Amino acid sequence: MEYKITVHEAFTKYSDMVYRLAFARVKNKYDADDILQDVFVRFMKSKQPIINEEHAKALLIRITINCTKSMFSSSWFKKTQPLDAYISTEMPERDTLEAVLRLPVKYRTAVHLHYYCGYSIDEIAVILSVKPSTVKSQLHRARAKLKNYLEGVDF
Amino acid sequence: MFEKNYRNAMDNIKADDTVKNRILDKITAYEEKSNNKNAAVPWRIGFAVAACAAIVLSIIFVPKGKPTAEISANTLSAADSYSEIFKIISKHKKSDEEVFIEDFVEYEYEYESFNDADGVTNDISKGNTSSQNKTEDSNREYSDTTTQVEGVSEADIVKTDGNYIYALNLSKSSIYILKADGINSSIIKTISLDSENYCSYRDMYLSDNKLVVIQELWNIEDDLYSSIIIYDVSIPEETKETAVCRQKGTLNSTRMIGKYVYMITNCYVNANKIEKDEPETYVPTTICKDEEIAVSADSIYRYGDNVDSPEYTVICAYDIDDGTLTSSCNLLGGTDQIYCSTQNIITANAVYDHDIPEESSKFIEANTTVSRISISNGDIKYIATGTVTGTLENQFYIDEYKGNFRFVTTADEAVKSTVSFANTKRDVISYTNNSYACLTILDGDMNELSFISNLAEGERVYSVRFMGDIAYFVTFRQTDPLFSADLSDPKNPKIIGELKIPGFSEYLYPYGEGLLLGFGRDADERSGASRDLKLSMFNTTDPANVTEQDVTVVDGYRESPALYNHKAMLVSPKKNLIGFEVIQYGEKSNYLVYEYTDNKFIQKANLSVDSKDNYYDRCRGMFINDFFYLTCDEYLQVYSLSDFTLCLTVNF
Repeated sequence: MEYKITVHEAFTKYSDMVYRLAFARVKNKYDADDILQDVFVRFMKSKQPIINEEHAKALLIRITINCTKSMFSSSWFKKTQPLDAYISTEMPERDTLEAVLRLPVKYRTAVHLHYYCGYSIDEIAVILSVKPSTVKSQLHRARAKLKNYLEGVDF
Repeated sequence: MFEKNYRNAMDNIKADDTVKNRILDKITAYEEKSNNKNAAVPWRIGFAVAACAAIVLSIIFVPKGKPTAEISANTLSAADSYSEIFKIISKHKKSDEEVFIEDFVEYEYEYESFNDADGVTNDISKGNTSSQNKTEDSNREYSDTTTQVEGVSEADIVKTDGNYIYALNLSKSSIYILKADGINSSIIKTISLDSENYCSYRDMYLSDNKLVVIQELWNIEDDLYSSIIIYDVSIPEETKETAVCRQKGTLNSTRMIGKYVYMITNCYVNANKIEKDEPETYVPTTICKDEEIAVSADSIYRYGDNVDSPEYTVICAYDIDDGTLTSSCNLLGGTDQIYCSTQNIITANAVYDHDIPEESSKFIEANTTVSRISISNGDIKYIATGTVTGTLENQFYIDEYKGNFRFVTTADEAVKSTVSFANTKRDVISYTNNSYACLTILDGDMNELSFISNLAEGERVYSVRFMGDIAYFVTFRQTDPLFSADLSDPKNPKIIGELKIPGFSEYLYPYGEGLLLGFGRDADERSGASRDLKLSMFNTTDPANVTEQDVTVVDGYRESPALYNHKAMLVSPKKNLIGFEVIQYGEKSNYLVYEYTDNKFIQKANLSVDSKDNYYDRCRGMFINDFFYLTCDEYLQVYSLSDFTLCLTVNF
């Protein structure tokens, strides 16, 4: 049995997933555009066999996180988040996204993988190569901070 | 509700079709090329058939099975030989399945530190002792980088000696050296930094004759080094590079005391790529004068035969006068936060691996391992290791005073339960939502002298300031209690005061006699939701009875780099100046300057900051004599200090 996915197929299926995670981490369109390309170039060059769809996704997430990491060496870290390019100011959910983007990057990442990608704490721990308790603590602290930013929101 | 809102908002984030098509074109071109060479796409799995689904599950849910780090006082010992270290590291060798998913991954270095805390900008008026070559005025009064401990310098992107301003400009990969001469200020020298290689520049130190630039660099094998690049600036116009020293690992922090720079890095080892006969594959290395050397076995300290993760904390001292490595000390295990006094470095590392207690009993989720390393004139010696309950957020949660070490921490209570998960029983640890603050005092051997717990139940610590015998700290959930603690008897510390006000301070700065400045956010008293930035001035004349003398809310601004980095804040009680950058999302930044007069905050200036590139936290304000200098990515501006009229703009 073998699992086949061409880079083309992977791009069609997962480019939005990669882009959103990249955006959640770097907070701006321009870097997210660059990273999207970077991720798939690295994915292409990777000699890793892919076991199944879940593995392909996990691998892409790892590559995305690695590609965005260099952005945080402060020199590349830009402060703008031109949300206006995507979301109108009237949209009620915009506050929520703004609040998440105000979190420190490791908290944002955990929140995104948990609440958007739907990964469990243990799965996130494997994907990020950290201890489950670290993920737990990041989510906990993220929620504590989000409660400060957002009034009366349930988690 | 949060989840739904976040998903809805995120669904709108998409790459433009033009971007997607451009990338697809590249992919197509690449695929065609590699198809011609060798039909390598798609990938094939070379594994046994039946294992497929099961492998992934076992990758994801395999218990880590790591040894528990039980750490009590005085437990680290130096290694006798490399082979001893090799044994410890090779325990972290990953099985093929684990490697499978991790593939070319670099590990998660959490080197991003959000320093939200307190310090004070050093006011300096000194008779300058440096070389005669400089045309300088020795009686200049100027502001220096906001630091935590007097006598210990911290690096920043802009430095001045009162005569010259050195600005590290990351968008242009250059250092600009400017003569600081009020309306006649000008660039006298530009140093172009290497932007070809994979490197990034962090910040700088300035001593009498030397400028030290801190850099991170990747080599071809993707190893990461942190470096100091030393320049001779005795004649600023003729600045030249004199030495480069590197040590392996991602940058954690640096400090400078006198002519010694101490650099702390976290160095991760890939246990699958180690070779017994090549120590440099599993111990940290340093590079001075282009020679790469593995650190000696006896400079490596470890606890027993196990380590939590195959990682070192590398601490090196460099003499910047002759550009040499003077000594190094390597602890097996990682480090989160660094505190540095004039005598000691304290490394603090949160430890989450516990022997989990019985079902449904409550326990503290993480504790912090702290190690004391003595530093004197470039000589680094490991002294002792201890542990404190709970975790700490930044360097300001730690303090050395009269030979003892004090810590304020937040303890998170957790509870264990067992759930069924993918056909296996798993232990799940969840928070009880009950956190509280703790105060711990350790002696010089890291043995506990005293411990107070269960302070501010249900709240977290937001900022801490130790001032001699008294400690002040702010906790927050809905209101902002400012606690004061009397630590004059280290064996018997006492909480002596508690003031409750809305909002919270992320910073506490001493502001002259009997005053403490808080910088943070305002909050709604009922919901605890945080709002705009605020400045609070506390009267601490009577530590047992602290009052809030004045508060001012910065209307319309919620964000400031100074909420996370104390060096982004200018605090000068002597000159009566408080300065920081504020940001409105999607809009321009401003730099605000306040003074505190007659028990009131008065806004002195609201300077607009233009920056095309909009890099985060690149803006610094400083004063030299009668002028105020504002640097950002694009330019340096000179303002008159008396009325903040713009005198001059020097473009970079």
